[in-house]
Amino acid sequence: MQELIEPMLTGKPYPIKGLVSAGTNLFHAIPRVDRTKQALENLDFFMAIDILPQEYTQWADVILPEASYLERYDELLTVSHKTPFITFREPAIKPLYDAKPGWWIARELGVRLGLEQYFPWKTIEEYLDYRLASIGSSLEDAHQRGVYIQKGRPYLADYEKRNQSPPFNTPSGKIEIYLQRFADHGLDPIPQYEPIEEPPKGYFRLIFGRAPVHSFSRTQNNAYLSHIMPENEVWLNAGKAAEVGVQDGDRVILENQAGVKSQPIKVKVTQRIRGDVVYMVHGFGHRAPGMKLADGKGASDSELLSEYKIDPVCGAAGLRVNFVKIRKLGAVS
Amino acid sequence: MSRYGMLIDVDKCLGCHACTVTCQQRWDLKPDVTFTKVREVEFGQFPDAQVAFIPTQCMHCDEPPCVEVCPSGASYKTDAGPVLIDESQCVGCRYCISACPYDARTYNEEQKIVQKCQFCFDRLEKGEKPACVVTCIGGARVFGDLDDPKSEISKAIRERNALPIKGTSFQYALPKNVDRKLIPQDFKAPEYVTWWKNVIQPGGKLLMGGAVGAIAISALRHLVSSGHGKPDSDKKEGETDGDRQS
Repeated sequence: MQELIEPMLTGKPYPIKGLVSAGTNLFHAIPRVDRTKQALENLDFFMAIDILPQEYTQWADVILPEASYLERYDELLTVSHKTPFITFREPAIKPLYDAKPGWWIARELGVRLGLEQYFPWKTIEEYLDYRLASIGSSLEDAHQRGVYIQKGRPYLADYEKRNQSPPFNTPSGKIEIYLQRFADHGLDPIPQYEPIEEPPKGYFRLIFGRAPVHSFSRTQNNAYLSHIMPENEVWLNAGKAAEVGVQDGDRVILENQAGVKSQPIKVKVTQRIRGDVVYMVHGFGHRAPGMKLADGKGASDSELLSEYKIDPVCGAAGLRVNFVKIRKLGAVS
Repeated sequence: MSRYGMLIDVDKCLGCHACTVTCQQRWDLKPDVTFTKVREVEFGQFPDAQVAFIPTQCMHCDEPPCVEVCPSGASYKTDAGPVLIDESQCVGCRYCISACPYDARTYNEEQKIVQKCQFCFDRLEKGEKPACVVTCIGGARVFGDLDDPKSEISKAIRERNALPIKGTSFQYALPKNVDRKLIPQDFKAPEYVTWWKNVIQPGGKLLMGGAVGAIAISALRHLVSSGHGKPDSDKKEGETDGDRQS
């Protein structure tokens, strides 16, 4: 997604002038939040579809409230690993207020855009029933079962016994850790460690992660979860805390290498982290008045991700490449 | 006869609080009221620092102090083990809250009664396990009949070298590095509960009984002396009423 932001600003390789964002928290899920905001301002049209009034929705021309997973059917989830299974999602209650399921929003928009022919089924129940018929099942059956599990799959030995080629779709037929294909193209066939940039003096590498109580940036407003964990904290090595001059529970501002400042965040002085990094749980620092419990609690890690690095071979984004200074609240400069 | 108990495997708890919330949902509790709690404890020094998550709740004690002190009999111990509260009998005096050595009871401000973990006794009756056990994603909770050597919990206690919390229905399986002091201690009735049970309450009953007895005797004497004009046999020979000191 972050790679679609650039064309919204530069128009290269081609301009993107309209955006429909469904279930993507644009200011929490993507690094370089400043850039995202600039990009949105550059669009001709922006529609947000979300289950919560997250802060980015306030930037949209049109907001469509989506029903949560408890209020809707969804596409089947099919997984074909060693124990294949199909899971079925059905609503526990009817959607509250004006919220609509994602499938309904997609179909209704499609119909209005003259694309009705691509939505031959009128309801998702019809669609699911049709799809399940292909495995000799039905929507009614799915209501009873909830999950379809296929018993086991042959181990490798069974493939060999049957003189069948192994199920790995690689040139060697084996699980490849050393990749000859890479070597053939002048790339390291097995990853070599390259030392990474160290934090400048006085800075810590910012790393972020998850707590089991919350999910992404979408549960901070839940009354029960918010009570257990109302805010995130910045973890700081106990030895370093004395150097920085902060104590457990102090509120500080984090300022990154590009001068971006975070919202105030509580310090957690701990032995459970090394001295050259600081850590915070992702998903806090909401500034969304519609989310009364989450609004103003903790700080956003995403806002501090002014930099990210792209792996040259596989294109994956590395986000833990930002550095922060700890500023005590009320400190000058 | 079953004797229900629970094993908490500290090594498997990851502090997700699914148990906390599932319990709140099924017993309709407010976010700030919990029947089961999960505590995070850090120990050790970098680079060998560690963390443990310790779930605790009502220990369903063998000789519950909360039952001893309950004036209305609302709190009671069942034969199968769970300590329950008959909410219709609870007067909300909260003596049980002070008596509990494990801080397991909560006061419901709206209904003005005391509530706590009930081992989901209604589910037990249907052969189901408590909600916290079913929902635990780490497999940190095992529940069942402690008196059945073949039960899942009896097996788990043996396999995981669990420590019994003496005097309660709980066992804890501790990883090597976690100090015994971090989990609930063996049952010990609070001092004053013993005094209450053995001295004050019976003493009070005795006093009350004595007061009732004294009133009864006095009433009888008045009844006898006012109606029948019996000779005053206490008078000594030659004495007049005015001479006697009462």
